[in-house]
Amino acid sequence: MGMDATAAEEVSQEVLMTVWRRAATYDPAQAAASTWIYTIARNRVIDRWRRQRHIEVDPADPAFLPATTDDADDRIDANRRAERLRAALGELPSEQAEVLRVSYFEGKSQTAVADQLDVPLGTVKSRTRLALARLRTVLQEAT
Amino acid sequence: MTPNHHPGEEVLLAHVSGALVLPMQAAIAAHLTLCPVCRATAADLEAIGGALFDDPAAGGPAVMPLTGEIDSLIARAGAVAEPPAPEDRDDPAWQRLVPAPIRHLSSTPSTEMQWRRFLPGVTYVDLADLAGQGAKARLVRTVAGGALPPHVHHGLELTLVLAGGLSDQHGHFRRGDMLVVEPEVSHRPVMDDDEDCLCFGVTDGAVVMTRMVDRIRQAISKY
Repeated sequence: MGMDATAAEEVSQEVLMTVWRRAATYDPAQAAASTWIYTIARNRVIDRWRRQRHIEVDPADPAFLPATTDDADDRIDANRRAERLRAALGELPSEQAEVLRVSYFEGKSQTAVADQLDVPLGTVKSRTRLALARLRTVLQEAT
Repeated sequence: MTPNHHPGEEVLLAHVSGALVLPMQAAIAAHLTLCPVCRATAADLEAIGGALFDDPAAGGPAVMPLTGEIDSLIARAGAVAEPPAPEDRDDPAWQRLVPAPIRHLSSTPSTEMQWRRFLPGVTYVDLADLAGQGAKARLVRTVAGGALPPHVHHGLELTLVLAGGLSDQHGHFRRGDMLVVEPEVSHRPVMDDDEDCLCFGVTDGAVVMTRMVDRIRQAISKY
């Protein structure tokens, strides 16, 4: 997510503190631990790096439109999904995995990713699309 | 009713990975509030982020504690309460109409917002507290059957329909639908006849009216 080692260490501590404070609200049925921690780490990095916050969706918002139960029932177990994802990540072509890493770890727009990797924007977009399509297929496969 | 027009995977990825400025995030989070389909997509994208971070071979940054430690943390913790959410001073009808990510951009309650007139039948309010966030965010109200003048955006524009409906060359949009207008594209939204239209709009570049008469009105009203 684009920061030096000292800042990363401090953010690690903040992430651990937040995990500690919020652990009681973690629901393993909703998300794998890795996903949950990723969202916490991302939010802390945004707090620090951009001096802004990450805006979350609140299911208690009076405007919130719930999903029908069918949508929820189709999801396979979060930890099995995480395992499958890690396996699928390892099988991605390296240039697709690289584009994903820069997008996620550095929080960069597709244009900024193209600049950093020195490849055309269209190439970044197509690599991202292919990688996400492959990974999301894995997530949506039946239990 | 589930929305029919979505921000698209690329914009959702930018939101999930933290690449968007605050007002753009608010537009996406508000759409997510109204769209179970995109919430599922965003959850997939967050799971992919989690898997990347969890994978030592992926060379993730050293901000992540080991997932193995987390189970014991979860087992032991939870004693310290989160700070309470800020009090919501908006009336209940406004809270049902306008998703929290937009309401919370401004500290002004809905009943005290100063709506400005841009054209006959078109009023708007710029949401406060956005100085330095790199994008403009505003609510725009248009009477049923009204229209916005043709205009061009020099940046990306996201528009979320909150009430009523509108059409442009890309289709028909109703509550929860998001219009993504790429930079330098011109459009002329026309509102449905049966209901006043309320939209939330965000742009990270100048909005330029196509016709001179509308530019003059824009200058006068500071739209």
